Amino acid sequence: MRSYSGKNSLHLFSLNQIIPYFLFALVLIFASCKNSQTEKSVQTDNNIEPKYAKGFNIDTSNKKITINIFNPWQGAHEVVYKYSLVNKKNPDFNKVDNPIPYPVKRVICMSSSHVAFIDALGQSNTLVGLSGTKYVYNPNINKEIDNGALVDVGYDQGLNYELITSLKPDVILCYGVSEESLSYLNKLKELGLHVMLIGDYLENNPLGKTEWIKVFGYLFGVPQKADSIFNIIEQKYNSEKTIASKYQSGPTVFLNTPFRDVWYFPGNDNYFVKMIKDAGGRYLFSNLKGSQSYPISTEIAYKSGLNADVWINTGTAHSKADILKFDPRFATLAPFAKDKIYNNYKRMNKNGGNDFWESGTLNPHLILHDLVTIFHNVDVQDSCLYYYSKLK
Amino acid sequence: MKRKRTPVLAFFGIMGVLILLLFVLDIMLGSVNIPFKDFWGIIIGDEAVSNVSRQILIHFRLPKVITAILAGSALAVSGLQMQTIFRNPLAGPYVLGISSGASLGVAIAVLGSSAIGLGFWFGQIGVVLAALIGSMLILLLIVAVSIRIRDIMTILILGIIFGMATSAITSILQYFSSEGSLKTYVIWTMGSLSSVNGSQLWLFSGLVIIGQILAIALSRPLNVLSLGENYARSLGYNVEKIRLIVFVSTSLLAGTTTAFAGPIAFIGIAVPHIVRLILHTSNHAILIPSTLVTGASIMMLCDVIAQLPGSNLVLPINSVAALMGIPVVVYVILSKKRFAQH
Repeated sequence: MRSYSGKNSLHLFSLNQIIPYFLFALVLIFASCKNSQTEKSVQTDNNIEPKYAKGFNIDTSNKKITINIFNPWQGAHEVVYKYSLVNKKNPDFNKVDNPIPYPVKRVICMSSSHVAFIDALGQSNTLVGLSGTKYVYNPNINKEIDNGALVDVGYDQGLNYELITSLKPDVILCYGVSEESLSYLNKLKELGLHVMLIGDYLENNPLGKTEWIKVFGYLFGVPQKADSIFNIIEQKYNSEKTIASKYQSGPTVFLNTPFRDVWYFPGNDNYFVKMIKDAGGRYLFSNLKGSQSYPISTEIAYKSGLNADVWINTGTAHSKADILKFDPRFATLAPFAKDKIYNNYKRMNKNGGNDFWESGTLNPHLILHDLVTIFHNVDVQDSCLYYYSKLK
Repeated sequence: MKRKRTPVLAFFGIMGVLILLLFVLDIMLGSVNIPFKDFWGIIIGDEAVSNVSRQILIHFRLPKVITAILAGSALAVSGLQMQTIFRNPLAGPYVLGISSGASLGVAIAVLGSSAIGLGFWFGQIGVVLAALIGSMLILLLIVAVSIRIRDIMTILILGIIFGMATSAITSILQYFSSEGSLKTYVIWTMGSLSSVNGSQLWLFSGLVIIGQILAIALSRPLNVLSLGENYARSLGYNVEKIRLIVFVSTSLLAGTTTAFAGPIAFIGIAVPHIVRLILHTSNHAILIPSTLVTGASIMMLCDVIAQLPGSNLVLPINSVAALMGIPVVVYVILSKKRFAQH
């Protein structure tokens, strides 16, 4: 089920990306006689190495498409899943590692960000099942849900296995939260279904998340389309970043709301912290290392927020009154008094499904545009923002 | 019954000093480093104290310490009441299902909307109200049962059964709810002293003080009751009526504490034993006030530990209280000494 292979790992984009894989490959060379040096160099030109993403690469050598997914859950270490895209009629179909029928025609998705990729590629008609249909924002997908072409398959431990089997999916696109959470995948595999782990949410670079559209491009047999979509978004993101870099000094940025007396703040490598920096903001907890979130006591958070310039991502608080319901003491924070609190709740459906988490992965340039607008303007009109709204 | 006794006056003298010491310690220590001169400056009314220190001391530390005092004393006294009423050394404030009732209320408030589309979300005060309503409903149920049933053990068993039923419903809500609201709920179950503020503190202290006054007023009937229900009846006491008032007092004490600070385990069971071990008395006129002050000081001590002075983190108060209380409970179970009242 899980193959540890360094076969395609030598030809990566940057030096610090290469080193761990190189060492890993070396170990494997010593451990196994099958992986010869020559085999690797032959494949150089056929490897699609992502520019920003670290969680996948695609090998198209010998007219075969293999998608390698690396470490697809938090805390995974040197885990590689190899998925072979093979035509169902091909007699070798069951002889390869993790075969996926190619191109996929019937898809079940477990994550809403996957829905955004599929829709962007014009493939929303291939979706037959989805986890959490009532939280979908995308109007195209909602149309499919309304006319019954797309059904809810349940959630995590509550998956409706019988329904999933009856939908006859070519592939079920999943995400892993931890190694333990993968038990439901094994169950699906036992039912003879093809499961693929997608790790877009683990990427620490905003464009790295978007780059996963390339994986979807190959699954649906439209790799060029995926490439061109990605290139346009990359260019828009970078030009937005250039605009932000022209501002002299950025505002100090305060984040999130607490769970009772614990406030979670992401570390410096987190993708959203990177976006704050790309938008010219100064993150107040830039001393936190790594990409994970840290529980910080309310006192410390309050002390930092007291003189912050902007406060964003206030969770379930959609108005200043909501913030006071959390804790009336927050009224003394500077962003509260200066009316500089923004939340990403502008695009939400009636069940609380938020497009920020659905299409935000695909549209980092739009998020960045919102952040740049919020950070560098005194008075921001809601109409200038895409995902964000000011708290009133 | 009265063996060698630590002089009661000496006990209260030491506890008074200890409470003052822990009060200052709990206010001084925390994640944000506050210089002592700022603390002193605020006490003597110096205007030059930095705004950060003033805000944190007055709006965060002070309400938290007062919450610790109220919660610790309330849980300890209600634990003592339950141990006497049920004549069981392992009874605590939650045997009547008060915390399960509060948990169900909070579960409906926090998890309800994502699980069954039925919930509501009024922020922090909504959680407090939901917990209060939940624990009061369970109390009403217990009172209704205790009017009809005279056997105290049946009431105990019913209290446990009601608790199990509410836990089952809570589990269903947890099963169907979203990750975010589940996290909010789980963090509520870990307890917290620092989310009570301003106006909530008035309500909290008001209800706890009423509960404590009831408890102190009940000390004589409790003394008689601890000698056996039949003995109490023969002296002309209305056992059912005493029980009812004790239940009201306990639910005011433990119910409000759970509503404002979440369920905090073991303080209610352990503190009465600590007091009995020190004072060797079964006179509730002494036991209740001493349990009250001991509960308050142990809760403050737990909070000082939970703050992990010098770090950015805070431990859940429930876990710290459990780790402090469990050794005492284990000692009580293992000790050959029979329960003080018998």
